[in-house]
Amino acid sequence: MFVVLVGFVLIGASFVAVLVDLQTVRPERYRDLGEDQRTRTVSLAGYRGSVLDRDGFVLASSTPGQEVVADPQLVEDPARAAAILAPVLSVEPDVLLAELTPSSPSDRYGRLAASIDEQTVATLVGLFEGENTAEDLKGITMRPVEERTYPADVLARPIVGRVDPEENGTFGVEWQFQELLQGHAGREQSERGIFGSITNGQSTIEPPTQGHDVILTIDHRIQYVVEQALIQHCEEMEATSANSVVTDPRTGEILAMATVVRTESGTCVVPIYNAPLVDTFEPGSVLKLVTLAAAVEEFGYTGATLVPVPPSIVIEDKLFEDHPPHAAADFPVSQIMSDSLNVGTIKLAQQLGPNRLYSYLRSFGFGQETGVGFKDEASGWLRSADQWFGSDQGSIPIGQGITVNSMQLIAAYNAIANGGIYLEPKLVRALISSDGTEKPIAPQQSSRVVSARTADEVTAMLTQVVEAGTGSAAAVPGYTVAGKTGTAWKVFEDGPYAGTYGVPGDRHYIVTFAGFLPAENPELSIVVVVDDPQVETTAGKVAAPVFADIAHYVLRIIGIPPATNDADPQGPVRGTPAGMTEEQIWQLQHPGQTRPVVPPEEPVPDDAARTDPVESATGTGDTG
Amino acid sequence: MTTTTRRPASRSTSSRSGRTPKPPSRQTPKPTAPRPRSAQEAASRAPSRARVNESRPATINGERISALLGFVVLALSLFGLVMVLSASSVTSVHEFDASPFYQFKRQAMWAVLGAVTYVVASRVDYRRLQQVARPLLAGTIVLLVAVLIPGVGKNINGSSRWLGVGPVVIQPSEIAKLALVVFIADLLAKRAKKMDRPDLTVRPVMTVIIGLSGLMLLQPKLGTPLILAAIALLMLYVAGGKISSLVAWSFAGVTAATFFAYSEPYRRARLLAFMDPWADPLGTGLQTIQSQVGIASGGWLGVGLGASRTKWGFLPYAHSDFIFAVVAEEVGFIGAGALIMAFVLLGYLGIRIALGAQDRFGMLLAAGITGWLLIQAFLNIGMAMGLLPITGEPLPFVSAGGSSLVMTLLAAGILTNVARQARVS
Repeated sequence: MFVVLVGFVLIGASFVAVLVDLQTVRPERYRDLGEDQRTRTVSLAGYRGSVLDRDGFVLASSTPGQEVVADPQLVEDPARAAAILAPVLSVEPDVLLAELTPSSPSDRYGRLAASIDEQTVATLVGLFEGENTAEDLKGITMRPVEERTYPADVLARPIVGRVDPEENGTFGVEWQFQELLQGHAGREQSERGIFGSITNGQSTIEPPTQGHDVILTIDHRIQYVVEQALIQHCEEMEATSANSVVTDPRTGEILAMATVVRTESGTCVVPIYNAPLVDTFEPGSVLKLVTLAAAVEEFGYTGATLVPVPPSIVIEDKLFEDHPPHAAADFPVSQIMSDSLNVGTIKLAQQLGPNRLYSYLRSFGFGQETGVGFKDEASGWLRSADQWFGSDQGSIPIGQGITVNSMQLIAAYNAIANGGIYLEPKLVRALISSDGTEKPIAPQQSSRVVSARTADEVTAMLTQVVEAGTGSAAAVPGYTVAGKTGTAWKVFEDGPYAGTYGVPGDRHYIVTFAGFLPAENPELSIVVVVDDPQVETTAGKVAAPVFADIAHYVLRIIGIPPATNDADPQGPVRGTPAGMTEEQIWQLQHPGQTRPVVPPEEPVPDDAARTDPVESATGTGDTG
Repeated sequence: MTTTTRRPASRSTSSRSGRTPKPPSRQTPKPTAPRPRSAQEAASRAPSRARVNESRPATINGERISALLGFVVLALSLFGLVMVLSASSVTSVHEFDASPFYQFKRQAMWAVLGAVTYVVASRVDYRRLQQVARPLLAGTIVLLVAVLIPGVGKNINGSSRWLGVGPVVIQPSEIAKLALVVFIADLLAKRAKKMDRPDLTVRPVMTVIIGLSGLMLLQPKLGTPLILAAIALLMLYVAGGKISSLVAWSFAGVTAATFFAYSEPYRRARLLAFMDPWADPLGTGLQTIQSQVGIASGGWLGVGLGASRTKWGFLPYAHSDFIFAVVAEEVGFIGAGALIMAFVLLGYLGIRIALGAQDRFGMLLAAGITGWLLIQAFLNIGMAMGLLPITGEPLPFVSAGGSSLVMTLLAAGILTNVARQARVS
């Protein structure tokens, strides 16, 4: 009997020992399994923020949607399920059948529809609960998903960017502000048994965080106008590509930034890359602005100051001359600008010396990133003064041996328009969190690069470019336009002339016009770059008219009134506005009068006539 | 008969009066007086080979032990009711589509019946059972046969184990346990002097075991035959059966059990699942794993009464076969350990009662009942902890199940009666 008692005690003690082990010493394996099997995690959507234009127009936004998915292992009769769902989802039964049939014993996922509308959701819910269909649709369910939509389609696509299927930005603002835009899904964990939610079970909620909204400085209306103008001119000029930036020089805000590229079929379309920040090129004469502004600033010159200019100049082994050729003479600084005289500009650069010129180029923003922070933004190629060799002292002042992007150009012109203060270009107006608070954005860098007097002098010179110089086609009736052309040869990338500017008769051009208006009180600045136009090849004939076109519309969109008064109801009409006949221009300039048979003056010399590339074979790559 | 006729007066008094027999110790307490009959008593017990200390006969305070036993049984039964309510409320609602108290009410009804049974049994002289030992066994066999007759026995989940009408359903196999204990106690008491003859002791007992097991295996039910065999071996051992013979029968029994376990695919699956539940965690290994999930989730103090997660459909039969898992989960090691200790205490009290029994039948009856309750409890708890294969035997007093509860309370009542008629202490 004692043996029996001992037996009971021993068994009891060993059970207690096992119990101690299972409950307190090593409970993990079973306890964790228990936790796993009863914990249901529901994802709480944290939506990606929107990208809006300056007025709140939606360029990108995320909306909740439903996708329809299946667990093929649970679907008993794929054919029947496919037959039921095909008309509802508007998908071919064969396609559904493929998703519903297990491809392998471990296949537990099939996507039947990526996103469905509310009505379809309701229909499906009815089917899932229907007496006749519930059993057939076992294993099929709806799942909330986030849909990224771009209501403006390709408008501003290179700026806005796109996301990949995992909602990660791949380019544009979607990439740049990925961290802020993305929402973080929250989750709700609750305990659930086979019989349903466990009463008094624990539940934890991690609230989702919604992404920030990014409000751009872009105006979608201006963006549209610019894109359409570029498409039209790109196609007309048979250019490879064209890009443009429109800004408000007073704030540095980018109102529009557009790129179009030519397709094989000859049409021009909006691509996915943002050329104004990504593409760099040798700008040519448009960069003379910096050299002249530096000379005016450093030496106190005015537009009327006379500078002796020889017919040509040799720097190291390279000959620089002007087009058309001229005799050695004293030229006013303003004519060096308006006639885009290479030799005159180089003479001024020599007075400045490489160090001073380099420091001006830097302070005008060249050779460095603009601060916009765009993906793949190029800073351009600007060597420091101690690395200028050979003909660099002749080339760089006239925009060769240096590469820039369109944004750098417009920022430099804005410094002049803005009274000598350089403002960092600005693409983002505000970052708004989901609770409405504004997240501070990096302060805009600004610095004075030239005095207000210099800015005024240079503005006056730029006005001359349009009124009586190479950029007359940029004129806009009713407004004073200040700007500068640039016609540069492109370096051949391949072929027999690879690495050179080619030879006379076989050249590629990149033409630019940068300017602002109204010159008296600049509110708008525009840069237009057209790459390799075929029909015409000079900035004055290709880029300047685009500038005028864009300005024409944008002035009306943002409501800048023309400078008119009772005595001058049409306002000033200067230069040769693009698209107008001489007769029309005369009529604008002389309202109510009859034009004499003989024109009162010779028309402004055609830009092209004075810049025959053949003439410049021995000289520079720049002709504008 | 030799041992049971020592006190004809006492026996006749109790049988005539129908009242609870008063142990002589209470009527004439003589703690300090010499016990003149002790030598004679010892002599009368001398021929028995019972494994009790013959030289110093145990004496117990029958009333105190019976009160303690009653307390343990009451505590276990009340705790069982609470746990049945906790463990069954979820399935009552979700499987029976009824009130959360649905299964609890049935269990409570059986508990009331069981309580009455316990009180009555503790007040009826256990020796009267000797007269009904064989009819009781015969009746049990009839019920076990009836269960197998289609239309009479209730077939649930492929097993014909139940008899009854409406909510009153009984499991004859539960009755068989008590019937067997009474039968063996009677037989071995009568043949106390022939314990050295296995053909008169071990063999007839084993014949009955084989017969009962055969009927139960037809239901089919393997757990109860195992318990029956274990009870029989324990009683034969206590009664002084030949060890060699017991070992031989044990060996035969284990061989037979192994054969039956392997012969039937579902039993083999269960046995294999016991050895490696993770081979099929959602099938045959499910209960073993989920039971241990429940136990492990309890920790030291448990998740709180009513807060079991395992009962939410993860662990089938949480309120009956696997109630220990719910206990361990809800009241933790403190509660589950106490439950095990309560059964060990029950075993200790039972053995004390057996040692103090006034006759050989009472001793064997007490030992048999104690062995039954303890073996079944250990089988159940061992199963819940994954130490033993799943046999589907309920935890005495605690698990849901009317037949089991009433029969174990009846057995506890008989045990109490043996205690109350203990020798003078």
